[in-house]
Amino acid sequence: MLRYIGKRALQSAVGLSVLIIAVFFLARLTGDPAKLLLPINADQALIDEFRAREGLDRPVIEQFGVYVWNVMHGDFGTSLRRHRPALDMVLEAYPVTLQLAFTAMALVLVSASLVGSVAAYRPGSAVDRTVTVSSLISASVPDFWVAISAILLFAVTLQWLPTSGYGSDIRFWLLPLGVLVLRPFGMLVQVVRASMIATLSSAFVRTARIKGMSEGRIIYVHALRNALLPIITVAADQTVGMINGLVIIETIFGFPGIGKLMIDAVMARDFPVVQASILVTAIAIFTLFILVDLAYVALDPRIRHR
Amino acid sequence: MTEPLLTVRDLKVEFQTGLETVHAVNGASLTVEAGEIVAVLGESGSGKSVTAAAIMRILPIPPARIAGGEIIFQGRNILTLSPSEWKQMLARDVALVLQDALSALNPVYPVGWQIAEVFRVHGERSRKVANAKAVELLKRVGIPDPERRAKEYPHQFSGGMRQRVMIAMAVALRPRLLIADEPTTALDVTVQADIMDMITQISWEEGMSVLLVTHDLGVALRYAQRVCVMYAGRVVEAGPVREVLSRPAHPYTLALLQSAPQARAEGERLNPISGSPPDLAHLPPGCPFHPRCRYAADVCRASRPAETNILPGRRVECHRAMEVLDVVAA
Repeated sequence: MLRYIGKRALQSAVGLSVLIIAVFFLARLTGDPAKLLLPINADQALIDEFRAREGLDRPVIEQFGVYVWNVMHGDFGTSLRRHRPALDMVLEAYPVTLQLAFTAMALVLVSASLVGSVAAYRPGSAVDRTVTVSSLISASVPDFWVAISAILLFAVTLQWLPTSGYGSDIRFWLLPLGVLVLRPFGMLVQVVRASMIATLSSAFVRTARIKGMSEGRIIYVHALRNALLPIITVAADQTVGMINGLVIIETIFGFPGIGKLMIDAVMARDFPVVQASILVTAIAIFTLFILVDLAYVALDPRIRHR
Repeated sequence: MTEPLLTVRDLKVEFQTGLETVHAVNGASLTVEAGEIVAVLGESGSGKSVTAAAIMRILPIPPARIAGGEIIFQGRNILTLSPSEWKQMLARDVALVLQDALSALNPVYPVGWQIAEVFRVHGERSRKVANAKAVELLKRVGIPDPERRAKEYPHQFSGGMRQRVMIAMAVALRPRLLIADEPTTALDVTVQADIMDMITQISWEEGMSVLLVTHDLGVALRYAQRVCVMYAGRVVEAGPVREVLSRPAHPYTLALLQSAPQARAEGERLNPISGSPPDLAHLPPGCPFHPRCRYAADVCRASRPAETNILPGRRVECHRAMEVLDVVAA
């Protein structure tokens, strides 16, 4: 088991290294931050001074070497724009994003499991067909469009909710959460439904039935644990996909999370912040996948013995 | 005479598929006496597995529906029992072994746990006792090193071993009746014989009746005392297996025998049954076998033959049974 985790960690480290290289050089392809961050009429002396201060005048390879050296010592650089450690900014934004993502994912998991199971209980029934159609719609609509339409309807026309903003007031959270939940909910309902239908009609569920046990034991002890495997995979995938959604949702609703930080940093060519936020996000995703793998190993002996 | 352990009388099972009603079982009747092995013989779609599923009450309802008849087991009509009464009897009085033992075992639990579960569901409170009994059963069905194997998962077992596990699970609570639905079809021939020998041995030791659903004439002949031949959802011929298969009274049984590879000398061509199996949604009038029958007469097209006791212990549904009997005798 430890060997397995070690192997996965090593794979993740390789992945992260590739990612660091890609992000570092791709970011520099977008242009010179001095042009964006300094006043438009800044003279060459000012630009040269800025570039010298931030180390941008040195060869790119050397910059990269310095960057990697620093990252390995826990220094992710200083924001070109805010003059604060990039890691601090990322770690400040993270709780907002995590709160948003975990609340959304918890809502998705619970509601999709319930709705998907209800649909699976009687395949082909009116309930099942309603669930199938509405979850397909939910999975298909573009979230940026829903977000803007929802703002128009609930904030502008009806004036029930604020157009955007962040705070502890639940009204700030309703629209972002609602929009964020839609697509993963639709996808996961489909997966739960399919997985439960397949499991409930499988031969081992019939075996459980002819042993004379209760329906509850059949569903919770025998069916659910088998049905969970594909559900977990898709849920993890949806969580990663949600990061894309978060960039859009946080920008539209003005949430000071990692998505907004990332977009703002990209727009301003604030390289250290771009690199730090992508790196931290990548670490989070790799950790998530390792956790999913561990859940798989715990749930399915066929993987354990491979 | 004492009442048989199991009596299926005029059982009718329909499947509703779209606009059509498929008459899978069409008034089947059969009996199983205590301690005896009865083979239910028939081709695919003859209704043999549906009959077995109906006896176990595991038909998917809907689309299936019991349209008539009764199933008397130990003096009670099981079709009228409440689900909780029936759950009490499952595994304890009647058990089932299915064809495909890989998918019939839950992949995420150890096999010992799955056998022990039978005891635990039926009142054994001690996990330790249940586990010990499970190991004992694994030993009995011929699994080497049962203590270690009990902790392993289904995918670590071979096909034959998995079927042994299924049988261990089925006989755990010493049921009076074991329904074995094609128990050896998925296995290779040498393993088949081992499994069937084991079922037969347990049947002798425990006085357990076996309803053996099969399409294999050889298996029926070798292991059963009596045979019920099914066609189009009815038991068209029943009787002691050696008599029925050596001197059939129903043209379908005769045709089955003549189409079996064993019946032919080497180099001779097989003699398949002409025509195709009946369309269970649109059964022909009269005898359902008449479109494929070499002996069909006008009466066969007009009326369905009644059940007749043609010889002691032998039952057949055919207008021309006497002539068919004489075919082999001649």
